[in-house]
Amino acid sequence: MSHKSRAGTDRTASVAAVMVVAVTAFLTSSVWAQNITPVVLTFSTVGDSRQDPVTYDKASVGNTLSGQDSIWLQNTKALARILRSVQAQKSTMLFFNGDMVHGYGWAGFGYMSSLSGSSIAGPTTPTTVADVVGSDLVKFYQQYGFWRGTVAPVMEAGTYVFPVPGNHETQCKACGKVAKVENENAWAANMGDLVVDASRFQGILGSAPQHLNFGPAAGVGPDGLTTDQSKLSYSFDYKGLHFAVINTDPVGKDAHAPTQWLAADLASASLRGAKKMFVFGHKPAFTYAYLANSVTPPAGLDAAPGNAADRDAFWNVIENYKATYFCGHEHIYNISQPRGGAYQVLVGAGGSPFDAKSTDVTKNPATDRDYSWATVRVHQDGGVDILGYGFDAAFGPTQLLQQVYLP
Amino acid sequence: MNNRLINSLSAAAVLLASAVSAQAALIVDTGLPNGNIVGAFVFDSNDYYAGQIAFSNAAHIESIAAHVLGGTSGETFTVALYSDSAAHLPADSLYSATATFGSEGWNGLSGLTGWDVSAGSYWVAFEIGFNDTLGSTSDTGALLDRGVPSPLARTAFNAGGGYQLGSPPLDFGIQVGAVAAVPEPSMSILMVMGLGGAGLMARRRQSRP
Repeated sequence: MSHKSRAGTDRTASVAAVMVVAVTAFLTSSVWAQNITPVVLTFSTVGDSRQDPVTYDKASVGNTLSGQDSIWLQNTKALARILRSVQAQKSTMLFFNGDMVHGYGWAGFGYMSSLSGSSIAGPTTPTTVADVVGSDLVKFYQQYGFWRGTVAPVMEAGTYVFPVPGNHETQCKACGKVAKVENENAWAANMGDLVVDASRFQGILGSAPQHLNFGPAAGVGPDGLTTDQSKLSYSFDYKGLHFAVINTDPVGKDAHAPTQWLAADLASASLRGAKKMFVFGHKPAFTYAYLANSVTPPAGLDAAPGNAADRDAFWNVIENYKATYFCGHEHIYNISQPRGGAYQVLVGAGGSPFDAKSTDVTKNPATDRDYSWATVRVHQDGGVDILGYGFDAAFGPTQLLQQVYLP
Repeated sequence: MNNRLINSLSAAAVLLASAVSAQAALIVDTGLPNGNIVGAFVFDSNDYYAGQIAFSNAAHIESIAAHVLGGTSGETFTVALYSDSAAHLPADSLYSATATFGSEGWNGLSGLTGWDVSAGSYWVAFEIGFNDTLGSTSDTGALLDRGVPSPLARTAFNAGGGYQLGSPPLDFGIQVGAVAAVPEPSMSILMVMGLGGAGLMARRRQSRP
């Protein structure tokens, strides 16, 4: 009996050992199988490089802004360095998740916001040169021009830049932080050529984008938006992957994603067999509460009272299609799985004043005040590496912050 | 020739021979970094690194290596030696050569010839040049992992705007091997002649009654 039992134990142990080896070999080989397939596409994403004329981060950029950055309201040093790095990483696409300009005024005729944006005058017919050049409309165009000039060499050197509208592009602060159609029009005038220039795309990436889908015209979309969204929300396929850009602050629906339009768009992509879906918007669906000892005010699609249900509906769409959501708005770095499924990749520290102040006690002090971006490598088998990179507020050396693998 | 004289000449010959055939010693060894990719320094065509080394005497640099992750065998990077600027940063390029990545760990150049330096401070730099390929096929790109036990006191990085001081010093891994400079043949002859002269004088003294 004991002998038989011992033999049985030995056999059980042997079987168990074989199973352990087999399972280990399977797991190891499956991981390797995902990681050793060639990278078919590399893209990067970042947001929020605009500078603030009043509340700039003195601990990072110094006590005074350079003459250049105080005029064009850009953190040129941080943005230029991120762009150089993105190119060194050989990204062929860059999605810029909004707030590339300070804007935040009213790009109608004859409006002029105060420096801090706390008040606005107009509409008044300009009578002097100062009236014209000091107007919100000219400032919008001026700042767009500077940003476009900064990213133009990137386009010429092999990285297509996709603009994503942010609240500083669509909203007027002194008007109550609401989106204005004139601001959406200014966006279309200054960014519309990039949405999407199939010829330039093909010249850079070698083949044309497929299944271009532009946001709805005024008043006809499923989300009840009243203004033309064709240059503010858009999508396309490339190499079997689906990319969608959404306007999270459209006129009349501030801090709302165009959820119904996106649901239909992702459904179509799914039917076409898209291997992976990537969605880019400005505002995070879930605020990253970075403060360790106090409450972080909601800042994303969850900010306004009653927004949670709409936010959840949006996130259901993201999760249903196993998409990944990239965003900005909070000037900080954070990758999370808000509900345990889909990832939210917050890369809003592209140069704007950090949300986490130098004196704040934060949850991730190693990265909460890093200028940062994400570079995504898509493998032939559909596996995706999301790599977070950054450098600290003192412009130290660039580090790999995080690696997330999506099978 | 008495024993004392023979011993003196033998010692001189051994010294001379050892200078000629000296083995390279690691004059700089920061020790092993932690092997972690997260937190590691990005090493690409926009992000270079350098460490300051010093020689108290003339020397011949025989090997230079950095601890590198995220490469693929056969990919290349550049190792360079710079002079030290007045601001104690890399200044003029003195020597430069292409290194080939083997596997994750210490990678660089060995068996160098002609990398001779006089006493003073220099900078050893690791760069990705226009024709280099390191990190181009890995997910993370190339990285210099951190956490060495003995970081160099003075390091620098270049993120596209020229080298700037790393403060605090960057704790990536560097090894440098070198030997004392080999005397010139004329110096060796003078040395032998001097020793011979000293030997003759000693012999003459001993032969006096």
